Amino acid sequence: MSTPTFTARKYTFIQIALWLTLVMVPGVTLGQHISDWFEHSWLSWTFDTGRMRVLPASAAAPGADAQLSWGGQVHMNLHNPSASDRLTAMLPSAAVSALVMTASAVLLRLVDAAQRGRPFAPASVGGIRLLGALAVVGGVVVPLANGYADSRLADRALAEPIGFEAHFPFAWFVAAGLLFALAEVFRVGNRLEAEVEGLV
Amino acid sequence: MPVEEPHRVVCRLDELLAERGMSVTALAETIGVTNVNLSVLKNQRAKAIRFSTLTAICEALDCQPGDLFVVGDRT
Repeated sequence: MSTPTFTARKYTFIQIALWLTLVMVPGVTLGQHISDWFEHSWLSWTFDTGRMRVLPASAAAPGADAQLSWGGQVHMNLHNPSASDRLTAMLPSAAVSALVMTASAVLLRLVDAAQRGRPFAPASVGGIRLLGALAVVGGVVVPLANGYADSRLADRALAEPIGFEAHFPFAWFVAAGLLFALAEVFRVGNRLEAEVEGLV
Repeated sequence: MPVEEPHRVVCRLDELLAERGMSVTALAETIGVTNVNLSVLKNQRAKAIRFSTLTAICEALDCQPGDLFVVGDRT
């Protein structure tokens, strides 16, 4: 063999799991929202205030009800939500769904490269970098989408606005750093592979 | 010549084998290298050779590395 390759292996179960994730994630994350929309159900929304608050009896706006749990979570229902309310509620799930679907597609490409015995293919380097970028984007976009939905829906359901809050997950940025480091390892591996190509 | 340029090393394995009436398969069996690898070398598709492979070929064909490789002219 002129080109050194790793032993090609079958990753059928991993591929099936990734395909299922790719296909089912939108349904799982957005299905309930869409179903509620078609059934004209109340829009239920829960968010964590992050601290104990006393919600006054008159806290709910007209056409809504709201409860505060001991853990600082606000459970609220909009009785006649508008299309804009529904779309706002779907925003965080849509962001997560898009990220998971893109990550699954990238992972499928990486598994395919490994299956062909070429884990250090240039496409793998790009794929791992893309996963790192997704972790950064996800670490920013998902909390922003959550914060926007919380404040927007709370404005509709509560008599007093709660303001915008977003908590950015540090672990996502650490994961992104690790993925970028891994991409660099694969880039060097790819270069080494090219150097020994044609060695007899 | 910058190393980035394509090499001009020509392998004379087929000529040496013909002179000795030996086949690639026979040489491969003698030195314990795969037939595919020797074909890569014979057909000028190799980019590098291990010293151990070179030593084994030279021993089997009773020749020197300079007999096996020549640098071709610029075209």
